[in-house]
Amino acid sequence: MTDEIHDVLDQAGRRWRATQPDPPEPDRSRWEPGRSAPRLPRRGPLVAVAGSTLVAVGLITTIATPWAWWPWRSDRGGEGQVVVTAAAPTPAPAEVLLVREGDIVQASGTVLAEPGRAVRFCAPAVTFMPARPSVDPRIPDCTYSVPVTGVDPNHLAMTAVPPGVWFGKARLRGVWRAGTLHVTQQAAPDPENLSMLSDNTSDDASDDPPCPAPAGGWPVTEPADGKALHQYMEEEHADQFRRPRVSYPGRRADGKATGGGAGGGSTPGAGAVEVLVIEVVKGDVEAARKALRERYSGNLCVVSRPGALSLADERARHGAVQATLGTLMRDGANGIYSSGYDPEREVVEVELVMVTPQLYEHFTRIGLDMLRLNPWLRPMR
Amino acid sequence: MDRTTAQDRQDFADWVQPHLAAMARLAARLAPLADRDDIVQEALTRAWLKRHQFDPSRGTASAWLLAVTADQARKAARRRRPWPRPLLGDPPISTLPDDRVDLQRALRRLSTRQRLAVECFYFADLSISDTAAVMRCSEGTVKSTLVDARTRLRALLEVTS
Repeated sequence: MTDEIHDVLDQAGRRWRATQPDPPEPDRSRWEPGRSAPRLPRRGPLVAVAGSTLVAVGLITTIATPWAWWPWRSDRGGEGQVVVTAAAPTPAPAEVLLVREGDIVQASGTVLAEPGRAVRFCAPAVTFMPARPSVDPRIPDCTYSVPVTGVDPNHLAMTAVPPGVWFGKARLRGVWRAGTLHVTQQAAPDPENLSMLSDNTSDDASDDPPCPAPAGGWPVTEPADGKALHQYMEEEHADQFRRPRVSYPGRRADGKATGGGAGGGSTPGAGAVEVLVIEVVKGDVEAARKALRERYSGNLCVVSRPGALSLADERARHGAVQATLGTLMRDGANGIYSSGYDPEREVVEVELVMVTPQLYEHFTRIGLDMLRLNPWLRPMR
Repeated sequence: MDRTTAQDRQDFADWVQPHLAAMARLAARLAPLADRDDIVQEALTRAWLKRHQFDPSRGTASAWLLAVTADQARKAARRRRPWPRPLLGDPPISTLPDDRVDLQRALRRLSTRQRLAVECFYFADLSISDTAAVMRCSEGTVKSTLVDARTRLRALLEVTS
């Protein structure tokens, strides 16, 4: 069946693709253990991963954090039926998360038993993608795990492969003693957060800029050159401005139109209405607005935000935290498997197995106000 | 002791290689003002960190990587991109032939979902299955959304012409 519009789009797509440069070669340096993405202090969430090792303490987690993503949707039972984990723990003050000897703790994950090894409690559902002859791909990854006792295998949805190996998922509660979880209660695992694209931000929130729209609404502008602006803010006045962000007027954070913006809302993509929001943390806002306008021709919203972290503050804070955190992460026994700077909350988010007293001391020295701890194994208070 | 080896990284690089072009196209379409290559690198870093979560029984590598890329692109477009950059592919409208101006204008009038489907399927050249992964919906919904988008475009372009 001929569809002229299909043909038009198809040809337009081909033309566009013909203009595209080759894709980049993967930057493998970003994948080195303990290394952060090198440019993240300027670009967004720093993500680092611990040098992983099989250790007595250490779990891989699947908890839903503001940064965690689960690129798997549920088995489709219908449109939009995305399973959201029931155990999306909200990071709490660090001391509440501290696990001491004898504490009752709880987590949801995978129990793995292999011949010749202690039964371990680890993250659910994992396989290593590229086939590696040394690892049976049927066995879930358990890079971070804690020894566990008292699991009732009859109440696990078990899979047995190969002979002598079994694993299954469960929510376990028990006593933490001598580096082992002694199970007292066993339940069905938490449903997994299978949202494909969710970054757990508030999708209902409006994405309008904090400035009134000009008469007639924010215009659709051609892409503006931000180099001069970048130079001015990042290189010359980093102490004066907060990290800029792009706002899409009339659109909710999930991309759906709110109906309140000019033109019925904009969509990320070619032709979207975009407003660059710049917050001034120090100095005269009017003078800053004038200086910025001279360097940027696109839609601009400049507002005062005294007390917020400037680009320079952010850089210094992140550098100080990451230096210590990186050292901790390189020792797999600490069970810290990822960290990243959250510019929205102005803290470094740390995902880890559990907050031990030793780690708590380290975190205190770093500064608990600079961290947002998100452990997998949590005490029941 | 670090157990992540150079061979692991090589394996991963080999594994993502066939999908890089699609990832780059998707990044360019969903966040046209951002740094396409940076989005791809961020997506690869994310994928590397979360590689253990990939479950081939639940979807293809392509769908998984594209979903990660879309996530990064969305973040880049929304709030992670400090500095606007020139478009990689789309020339300014004023330099386009008339028919392409009409098409660009018409595309802007599609709904968010329709636009996303068109971007993925026609421009990024994703399969229906991969488009569904990016859009978090069924393949049937992708097809019907594309039908709706074409119907809308037809009306818009007829009016224009």
